[in-house]
Amino acid sequence: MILCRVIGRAVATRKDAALEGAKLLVVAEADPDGGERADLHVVADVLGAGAGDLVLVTIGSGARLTAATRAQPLDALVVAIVDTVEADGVVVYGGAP
Amino acid sequence: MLLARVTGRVTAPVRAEGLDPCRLVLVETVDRRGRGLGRRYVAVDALGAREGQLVVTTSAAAARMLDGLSGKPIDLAVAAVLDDAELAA
Repeated sequence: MILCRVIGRAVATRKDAALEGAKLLVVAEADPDGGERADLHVVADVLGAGAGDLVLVTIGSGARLTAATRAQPLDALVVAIVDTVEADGVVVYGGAP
Repeated sequence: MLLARVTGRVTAPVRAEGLDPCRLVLVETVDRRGRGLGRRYVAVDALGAREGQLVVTTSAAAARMLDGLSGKPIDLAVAAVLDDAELAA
């Protein structure tokens, strides 16, 4: 999985019928401390993630291994909304302010 | 999935079996401001995306789940044509 920051939504009237109802987010790949990289992905979301959230994204056929996405032609899915990231014993993202 | 802009079409008279009826478009991935990043791919398009439009592409086995593309020898296809992408700068 990769860490990504949600930067917006992708809205499409014209889309494959099997994507009807799918919520698509535009995300930027992120460093463990939440810093954004240039690389973007479009990912499906059923967890209610919104702009600014740090999320965990599964890419590939694993994105279709949930009941909600099983029959959808998508290859990337938000699988978690991240609260904290600890690296080398130090909390580098989130945690107490 | 990739966020990309349609930048052209590809025609190819000689094709593998199964690829015959497919429309092929050239797409370029974009940054959050919609500017091209220089990475170009060829995608099957069954939605009639036009040059200049932003699209979402889906890859590998997911591309072959799209309507009409089952069993075809492809690995990238247009899954949605965007009305709008609201992106934080």
